Amino acid sequence: MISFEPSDDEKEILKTVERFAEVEVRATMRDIEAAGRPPEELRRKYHEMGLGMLNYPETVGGSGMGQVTRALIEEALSFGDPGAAIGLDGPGLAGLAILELGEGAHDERYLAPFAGPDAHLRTAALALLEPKPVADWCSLATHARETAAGYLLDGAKSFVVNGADADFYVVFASFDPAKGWDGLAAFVVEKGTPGVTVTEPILTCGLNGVPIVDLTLDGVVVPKAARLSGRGDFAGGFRRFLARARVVNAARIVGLSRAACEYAIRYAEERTAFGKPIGHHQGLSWMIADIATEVDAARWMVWKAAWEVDHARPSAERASIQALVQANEMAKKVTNDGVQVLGGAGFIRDYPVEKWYRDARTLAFVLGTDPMDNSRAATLTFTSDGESPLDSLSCV
Amino acid sequence: MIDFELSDSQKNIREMVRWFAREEVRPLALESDKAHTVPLEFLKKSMQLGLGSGTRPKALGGDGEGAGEERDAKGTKQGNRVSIILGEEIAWGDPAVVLTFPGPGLGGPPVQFTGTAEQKSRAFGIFKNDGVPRWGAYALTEPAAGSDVAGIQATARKDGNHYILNGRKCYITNGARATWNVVFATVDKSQGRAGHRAFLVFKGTPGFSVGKIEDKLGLRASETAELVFEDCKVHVDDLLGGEEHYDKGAKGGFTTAMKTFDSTRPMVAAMAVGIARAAYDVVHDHIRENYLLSRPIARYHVLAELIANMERKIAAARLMCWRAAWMADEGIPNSKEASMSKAYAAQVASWVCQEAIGLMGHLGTYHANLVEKLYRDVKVYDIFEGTGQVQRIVISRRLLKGL
Ligand SMILES: Cc1cc2nc3c(=O)[nH]c(=O)nc-3n(C[C@H](O)[C@H](O)[C@H](O)COP(=O)(O)OP(=O)(O)OC[C@H]3O[C@@H](n4cnc5c(N)ncnc54)[C@H](O)[C@@H]3O)c2cc1C
Repeated sequence: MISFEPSDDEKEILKTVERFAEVEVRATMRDIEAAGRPPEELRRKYHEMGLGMLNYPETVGGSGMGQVTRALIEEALSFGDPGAAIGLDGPGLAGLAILELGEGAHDERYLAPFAGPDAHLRTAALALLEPKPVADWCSLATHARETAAGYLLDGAKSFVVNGADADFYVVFASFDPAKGWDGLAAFVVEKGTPGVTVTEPILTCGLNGVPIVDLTLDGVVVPKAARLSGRGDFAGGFRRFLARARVVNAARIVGLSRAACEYAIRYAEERTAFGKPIGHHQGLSWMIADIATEVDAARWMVWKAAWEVDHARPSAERASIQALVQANEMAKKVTNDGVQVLGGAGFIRDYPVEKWYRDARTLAFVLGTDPMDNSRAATLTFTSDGESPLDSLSCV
Repeated sequence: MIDFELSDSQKNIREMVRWFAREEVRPLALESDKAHTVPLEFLKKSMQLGLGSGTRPKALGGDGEGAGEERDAKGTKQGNRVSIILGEEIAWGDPAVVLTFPGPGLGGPPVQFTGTAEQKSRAFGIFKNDGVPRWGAYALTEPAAGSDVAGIQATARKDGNHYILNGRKCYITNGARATWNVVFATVDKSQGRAGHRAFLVFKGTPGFSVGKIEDKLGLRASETAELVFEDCKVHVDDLLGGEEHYDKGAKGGFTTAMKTFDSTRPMVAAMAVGIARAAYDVVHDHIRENYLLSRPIARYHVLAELIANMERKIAAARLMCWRAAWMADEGIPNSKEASMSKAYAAQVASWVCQEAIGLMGHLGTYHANLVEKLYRDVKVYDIFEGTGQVQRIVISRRLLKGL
């Protein structure tokens, strides 16, 4: 039965999370931005609230909640600050990769500690993107080779979000781009592994409330057990992982955009020009109606995609891409108009809208570029089973 | 005769400025953004090179005598066209550095249009070829009145041979370092626009001080200041255009403010075109290096369409600027066209920068990448010199009777 009503449990959690996001996160977002990461105290509170392992199975100490609940909560947190939402999320997208691609032993070793003591001090980071754009996922330039000792990894990763001092990285690498999905693999690279160099946090357009770094892997050797092979179906696991990750990311984009939209609405009620509140001029009232509509449209797309993931629908992958594209398109407009509504003040750092304008165009790329997402959606549109007549050879 | 060819001398100037933008300005772009200050050493150096030689660089509207005065061999005014051609080039180099160039800046046009001969010589006379950078500035916006120019609150009270100014101005480009600001104030709020007066207020005038320097999203190399006037005493000789100017047409002060826009809006629009072109160039190279003929096919088409749309819209925006500037040179009223160029170019430039980052993905968000900076810089082009909404008001009022 169609319903847009969160469950009672969800409402309960949301109430707490929204308060936390408002009082603890939003109120300090400029401090978090200046510090480059959420403070330890905030991370502790987040874990005490039980948010750390929300959608991980109970077997690893999680709460076993679904993607829909996760989406609601990520949106609420990102309303407070998207950098913090990521910085507080210990296992991060790397955790989701383990969830979909790892086996029991991986869960135990890598996920369970996030539910243990001092969990709030732990972080993991996804190392997927690279300094050079790739044609498709299978042609990652980071290279893996099997050796007697395990696997030898060489290459470079960029835009590793929350990667400043991660306990481990999930590194995607290619054995052989010609082999398509079968040539691709993921590895857990633990902190301190020789050959791994982590840069200082990089100055990026936005999302400055969480450290973003680049990695180089120079003759890195990891044990055989570090390989995440997707329990025999790497392609399937990888795509399910991406679907989950997109939903989380899109929910965060909706959260920050909603913050921008609501701020703009309030400002438009208070600021006057030509004898009335600026929001009463049609030039702005229509703009505001548009952005509020766009936020909703993206929000429902995210919820639907999350729901498809929860129900393991075959179309979940496409729904997740659509949700992400919709969210990014929306965020471009909403955060741009958010600045516009404030006029000159929008350009000044004393006001928050310039931050959302920067954050939106940074958070957008955690999993790739706009055209990559768009073309992936187009490719999938031609298929019901994931094989596109357009590009049956590409791992899009 | 319809013609889209630049004259030989325009081509020469464009080539020179293009070279300058590429070789001298662009290398400074990222660094000066980070430094968050006006690049003084660079400005001095370029003045020595004869570029912006003690006066305003050509790209900012002329030679210290204000915009629009250059003429071609037949005596046709060319200044506005020259200005926008060069504005695009320098903004391509860097849209923030272009605003830091010494010269009368946005203060030039009002002095040019309404100043008395004596005021012009005093205001423009400071721009000498002595290697010392000097600025003029334009102070209209107030904390409570931006788009609603008629609603300014700063007051001017006549007191013998002086006017006493009180009030605050905000977001004034180069206002803090300017030798003089053109400051708008009202002698009588009840008169609305007719009460507006414009004054030349020189730095160091008692009662005039600088408030805070703003920390901004973009254009960080350019200085944006708050100006404070507390019983600031300016001589009647500094009333722009003299008392007569305000006697003849009732709205002398307001008209000064508005007339300025007819030449500055196409200029600002042209700078937006320069920004768009800069972003386009970066992604164009990026695509050529990384994606040309690459699979997946669908992405190839997404990219092809994106880059084609960028190029097309930039070309259209440029023509809008050219037309508005041509009208200004020909003396044809161009308020509508000036607003169209500004509204359109700012929007195109914003879109191009947004998509440029989108196309480069995470790489485009790194501070080391020019498009990241352009994305931050470009936003204000839809805000200052009249917001996109204000431009639409100007345009629609000239299209729809009775609006
Ligand atoms: C970097 C920078 C440099 C600047 N340099 C200068 C300078 O050198 N000199 C100077 O004088 N000023 C300068 N300004 C100020 C700039 O011109 C103003 O910010 C601008 O005119 C908008 O005014 P405002 O900020 O008061 O916004 P507001 O007028 O408060 O506008 C807020 C919003 O309401 C909208 N709005 C207002 N009225 C209407 C309406 N009737 N219909 C529909 N929408 C409406 C606006 O479009 C905007 O979206 C600068 C600003 C910046 C950011």
